[in-house]
Amino acid sequence: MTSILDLAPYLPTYRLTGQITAAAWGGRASGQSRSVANYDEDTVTMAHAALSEILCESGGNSGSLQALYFASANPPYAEKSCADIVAFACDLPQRLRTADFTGSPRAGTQALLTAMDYVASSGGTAAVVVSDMRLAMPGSALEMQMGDGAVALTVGAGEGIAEVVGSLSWSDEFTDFWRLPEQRYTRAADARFVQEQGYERVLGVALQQLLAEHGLTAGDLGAVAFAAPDAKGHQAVGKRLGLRPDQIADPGIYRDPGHLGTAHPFLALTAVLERVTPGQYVALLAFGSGADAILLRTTPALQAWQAKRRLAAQAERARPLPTYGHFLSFRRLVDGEKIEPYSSLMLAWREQESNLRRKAHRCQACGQIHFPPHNVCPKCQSRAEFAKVRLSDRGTIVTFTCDRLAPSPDAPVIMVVVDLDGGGRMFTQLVDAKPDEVAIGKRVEFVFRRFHEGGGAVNYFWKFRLERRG
Amino acid sequence: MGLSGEVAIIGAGAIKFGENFTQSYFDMVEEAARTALADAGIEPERVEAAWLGTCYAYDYTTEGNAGTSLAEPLGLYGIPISRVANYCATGMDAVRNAALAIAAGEYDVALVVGAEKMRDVEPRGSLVAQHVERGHPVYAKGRTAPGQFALLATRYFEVYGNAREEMALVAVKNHANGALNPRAHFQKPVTVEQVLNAPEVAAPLGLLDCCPTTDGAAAVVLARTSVAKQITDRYAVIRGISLAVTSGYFNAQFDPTWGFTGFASTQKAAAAAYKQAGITDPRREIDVAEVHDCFTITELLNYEDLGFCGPGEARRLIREGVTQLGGDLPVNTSGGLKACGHPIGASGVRMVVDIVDQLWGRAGKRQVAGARTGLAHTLGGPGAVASVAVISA
Repeated sequence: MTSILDLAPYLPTYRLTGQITAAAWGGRASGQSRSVANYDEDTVTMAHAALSEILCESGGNSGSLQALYFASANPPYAEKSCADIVAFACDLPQRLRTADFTGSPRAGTQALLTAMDYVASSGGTAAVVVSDMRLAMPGSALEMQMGDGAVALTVGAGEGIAEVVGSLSWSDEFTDFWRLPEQRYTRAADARFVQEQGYERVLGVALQQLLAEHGLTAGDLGAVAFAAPDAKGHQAVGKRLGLRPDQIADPGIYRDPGHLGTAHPFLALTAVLERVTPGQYVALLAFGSGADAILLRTTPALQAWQAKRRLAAQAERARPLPTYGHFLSFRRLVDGEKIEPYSSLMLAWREQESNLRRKAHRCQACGQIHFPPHNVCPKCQSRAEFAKVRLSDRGTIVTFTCDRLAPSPDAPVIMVVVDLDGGGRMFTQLVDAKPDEVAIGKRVEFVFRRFHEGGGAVNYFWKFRLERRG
Repeated sequence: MGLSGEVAIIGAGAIKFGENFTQSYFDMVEEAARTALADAGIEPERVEAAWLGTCYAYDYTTEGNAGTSLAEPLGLYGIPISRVANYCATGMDAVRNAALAIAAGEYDVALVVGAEKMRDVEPRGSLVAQHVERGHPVYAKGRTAPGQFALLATRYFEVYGNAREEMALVAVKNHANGALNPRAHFQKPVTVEQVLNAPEVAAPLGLLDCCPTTDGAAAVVLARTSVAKQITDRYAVIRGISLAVTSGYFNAQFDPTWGFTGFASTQKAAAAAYKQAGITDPRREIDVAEVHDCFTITELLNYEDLGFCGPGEARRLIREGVTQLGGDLPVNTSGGLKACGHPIGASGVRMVVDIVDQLWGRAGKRQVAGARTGLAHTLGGPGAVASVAVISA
């Protein structure tokens, strides 16, 4: 039996609201409140953040994963594996099967189906991270409809929150959202055409056939999770699939955090799983030149998962962007101060154990943990052997400053010195916080973020945010 | 007494510090060197060896990365000239190297020049770019020079109480002194209110808590004391000069043993210099001091690290007026880095020049009556390199 063991969404802190957009472009303020990845976030860091929710809660038990699949229509690299960046930063074992799924809004379910196949054939455990941040023409309606975010799932052979009952994939050729290689902005086809001939027709076929294969009807389902182009379309698709409003995700997710692209069916799945009861059938549908349909049945373990209120907890931390200018700056739609930090692929490779995996040295003579790893213990000056240990994911602020001189799209830069639980000290930025929220003694936790593109590649490293994880 | 009796300063000079747009690096080096040589009353040909202190050569200007940058503007070819770089302690380390070479018996007369041309780029192109664009790609990224020292202010407040007003008093004192110094970059007094209301740079530091970005050069001529006596009857003796280093830019703040309320480098350098000079009670034995006030909080921490007062007592020291002109131990009578500016390689040499001016009774309106023993202190990087000199008339 293959099960979904755990599932965790990650939504960035910032929201672009209708009011902010109306202040910039004029017109009436819509009720939209879409999530916006911070300037130092991308689909890799958001995938890491979502998976970290799961791994941290299982006591950092990342050793049980044997496969990691990354899915996004907007990976930070057009050519280079992203799954392996996430795996490295999560300190997963290197005996690991990895793959990137991209190029389609269906990439998430394609990754999940592959993970299910992997589990079925190997009996192992796999993680799937689905992450997206799409860019639309500034000032367009589409810009406000899209959101940024990620969902992580673990799939295994044991008992989980939902068991996989079956699946069905349907191939078709249809153009709804698309982008040519040289284009920056996602484009959308005619809404009514897409709605009728795309989503309603194809999702209808896929769900009908899946239900028929299992001798079920729409009425037997506790809920169906899917993505439609927008909130109105969501309700229309639900109706067309023969579902009652209480069988589909609350269309409010299209207002806040918005349409998460590849990750949207999984956001809908999170929303419906937080509502259904154990023992109910739940279908996950994803559209994109065809459709994937996966039939799940929830288990009694769902209730403990529901108690975590993960989606609500993500939403509670949301805060509006200061200005529309911040959005333009975060997405580099306007020129900022030109900075070209030094970097080196060789240096980055040499230091990847410490810089991506947070491996520090523990002095075998005095026990002091130090980072970055030194040749000599900074405390006892011993040259004794050092043990490699991963720095704890959280700690306490020793001192800090809010720096208005350092360039940043999300100024001021808050720099913190943090003593980590279990030893070691880190000096880096605190993000997603306001200056008046920072104080000596406050608890913080690591987040994996992009620093810059010095040397032409993305330089990832660690920052802190105020403690959220339980 | 180690080198203390052996090495004397016979000439000292500095150029006007500021935004010297009309002067090149060579122009500044030449003016400072010729001023010091004239002050010593010797011709350049008398110089047997020289040291050039410039920290970030090639970054802000086209010169300064080798001894040639001192040889060329003076036509001083064929003798050994070394370039020294050691963060903001660069200038004083150049003095230290020259002093040790004389003490070792190798040379009788040596020239030291410290120079930094920082305003051939805009201020953000100098130290901000240094932190943002250079160095390790990710460690400590987001730090700036004020940001690193602000970390100590925040921690100092937590441990010893809020020192925001006392930091302002440092700025007020040093600006007042700078107003009396024709070589200072800033020659205008400021008020406590102006300091407290200045735009925030790196909390709790405001704009007037920070030294400016400045061009400058300074020079001293050193001689073996026995030779100095043949050249002139007016000289000062270096009784002690030390250097101590800890962790650099990419490790300092990660060191779990650091308390962020002072600098071990200064404490160790001070202990070494005091030992060489036989100083046991600096507060009483030092008559005048130039200390590294890159930011106002740094001067307060220096008071404690240099033993002018105990830990946590710096606020009282500044409030009681001990360190102002007319106090028991006037500090930064030149205006310090705060008012003179901080052309990195020049600063340590400039401090020695200002101390010598005091010891020779030529500090004008800033003169400390009867100053016999002076101290100069520089602090570099994240507080990682410190140099202390004790000089007596």
